[in-house]
Amino acid sequence: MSLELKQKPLTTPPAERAGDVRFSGGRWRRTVALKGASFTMPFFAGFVVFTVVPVIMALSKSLYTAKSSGLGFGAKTVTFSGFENFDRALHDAKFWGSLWRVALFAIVVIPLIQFTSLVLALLLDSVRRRVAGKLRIAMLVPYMSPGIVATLIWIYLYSPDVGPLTPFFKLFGIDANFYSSELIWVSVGNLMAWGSIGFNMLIVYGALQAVPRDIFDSARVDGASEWRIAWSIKVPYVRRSLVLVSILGIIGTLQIFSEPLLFRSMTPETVTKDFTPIMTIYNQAFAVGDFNYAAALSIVLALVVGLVSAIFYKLTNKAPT
Amino acid sequence: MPTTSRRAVLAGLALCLAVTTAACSSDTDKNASSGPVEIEYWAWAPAQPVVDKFNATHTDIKIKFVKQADLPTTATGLRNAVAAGSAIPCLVQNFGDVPALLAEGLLADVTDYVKPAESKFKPASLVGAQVQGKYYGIPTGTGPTFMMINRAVYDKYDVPVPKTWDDVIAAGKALKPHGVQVMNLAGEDPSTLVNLVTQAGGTWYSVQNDSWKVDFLSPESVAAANILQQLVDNGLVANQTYQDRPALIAYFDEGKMVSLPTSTWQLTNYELHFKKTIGDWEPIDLPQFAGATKFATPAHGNAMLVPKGCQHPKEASEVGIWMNTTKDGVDATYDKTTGSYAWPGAMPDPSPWIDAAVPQKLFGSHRTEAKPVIIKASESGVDNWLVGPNYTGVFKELQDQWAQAVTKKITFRQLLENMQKFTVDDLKAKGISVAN
Repeated sequence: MSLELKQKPLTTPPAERAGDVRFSGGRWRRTVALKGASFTMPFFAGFVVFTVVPVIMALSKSLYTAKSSGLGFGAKTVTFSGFENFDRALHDAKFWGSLWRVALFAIVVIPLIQFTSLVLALLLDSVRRRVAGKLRIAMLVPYMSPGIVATLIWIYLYSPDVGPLTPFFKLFGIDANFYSSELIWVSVGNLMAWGSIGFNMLIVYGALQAVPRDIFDSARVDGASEWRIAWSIKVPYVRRSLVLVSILGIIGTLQIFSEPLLFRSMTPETVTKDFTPIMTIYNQAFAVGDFNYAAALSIVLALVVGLVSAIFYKLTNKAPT
Repeated sequence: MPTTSRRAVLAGLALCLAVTTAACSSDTDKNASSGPVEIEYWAWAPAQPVVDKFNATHTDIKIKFVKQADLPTTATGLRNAVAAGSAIPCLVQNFGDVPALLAEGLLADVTDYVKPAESKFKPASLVGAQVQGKYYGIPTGTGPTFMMINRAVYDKYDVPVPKTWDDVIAAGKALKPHGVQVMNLAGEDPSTLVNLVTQAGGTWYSVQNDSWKVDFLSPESVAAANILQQLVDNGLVANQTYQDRPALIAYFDEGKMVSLPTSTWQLTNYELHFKKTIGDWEPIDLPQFAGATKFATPAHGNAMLVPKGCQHPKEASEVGIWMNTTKDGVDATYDKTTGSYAWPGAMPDPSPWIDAAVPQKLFGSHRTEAKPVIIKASESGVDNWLVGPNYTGVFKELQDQWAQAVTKKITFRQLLENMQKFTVDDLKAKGISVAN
């Protein structure tokens, strides 16, 4: 067997070959690895240009401060200020206020979205494949519409003056103003759920499809009900997918921007300019014109999001599956 | 893996890189040769007819019009162009206050070209384009401010036409039992406050010995705040947003909100969209502060911008002056669908264009009153209003404070106090001298 293999050196495991095993084997592996890795170059080129470089630029910007002098009309002087911007960020009540506001929202909305997605995926899994395919597309349609378009649709639906929802709720005697400070997060949450449930459901459904079907059969033979199968077999199997979509949800929610920005145009009394962390950063960069401070805030936000995601991952991803 | 596929991968990568580099290296070098100077003009307003008229009547300068989507994209585009130092336009439709834009480093000094032409402009329009006596744009002036009231509703409930802001409050109290609001204060738009302070002759910023003096608590501001406070406290105003246009127009057209401070440029919009109340409205003089000695309307002027880095500021100024001060320039703004012109805010005598500015049906039998009201408003404009270098950020904060004040979460007095602190702190944080 080993003789035969020696005749095809390229596909021979390096350890089987005579001579300088380590060198030639290493080189062979490296070549193959490089060839494989080169396929990721387009991605990494984009990643470097649009993510790594901006992060480095933001890091360097955040260490400087631009100051005017006199009446403020002359050129600004940029000086190295070390961690001054970060110190300011740590004490910025508006920024942390916006972060807490969004965090509280995330704690409520993310579990709700994940739960609904899971239930939908389980339901989809229990119907016949052809029906499932059609329903799947229908549920994905909201995800396919861009966030801005979705927000514009809902802004119209929510409008107390021209939208259909307010008169609809009036039929039941409910006076619903979706832009009031009491309901604004419900409105945003509903919009987010509408847009993201389809995608989350698809991921979970994909994981469900990978569960070996014979386990269900043996469970049925053992007398397990469908509920029991769903709870004790299917849900544990899709845990990793749920963790994934939850982390994506955490990242997306803490960075929520376009939805509240558009809502602000309708209800500036409720959605202030510092309503969410990214809105605070956006305001600093483009209204106040302080890019250095905005860069520092962005880095603080990135650290918070990274930390929260890491903790969540640690807590939820330790059980074996 | 055969070597050919490795080559293919490398070639692909090389191609990728080549494409990206090529996209970045398309520097232009126009206007280097002789011939007419080309002025690039950015505006979101439909300015093509004006540009065509200019190009048809001039040989030494040609305007290249680049239509913009809206105000925010114009602002972002110009900020990017100036920061990049290339492809900078030479004339831009105004998107902010001159001092704030100058502090951002966006504007060029065009004093040498505008000052000799000062006599062509309406004197009150000049201040809005200046900072510390120098010009950073072409004065455009502003539209005349007056009020339009739904006279039919006023008459129905026998409420007298208001002459002062106190009359407006009294009218509001008389109309409230009938479910009618006297005015609308949109939650996102603090311009009513700014206009009241301007009308009273006040300003929040002034310069003293090379430092800024910030005074949100001047007597003029407090007087303005008092009027607004009474309107809000007594529940006399609506808070309909300007962002949801169809809803706003429908609301105005219901006869439930009966007084609107307005200007000429808004009239055609009402004319086109009012259905039920068309013909019921009457143009009246803007209500005055009780005890004011002289009739006044707020007239804070603005400027067409000449950006820093523009290669031809002289020619750009010439174009801007032509657009704002010549009959040809104003005539070319004629809009067929509305039958009106852009308001010639910088023209010393706007009377030739007033008739066209007054719509045919909106004012019904009161249409003849419009012309004298507009002329009076135009002649009595006051502009002591000055903004500081940090006004863009201050205005955003003002919007938030305003939203809280109109929804009774804070008082207007508190708004002024908060703004005073915010503005002084912000100036200091930026290293700018403040006298307070």
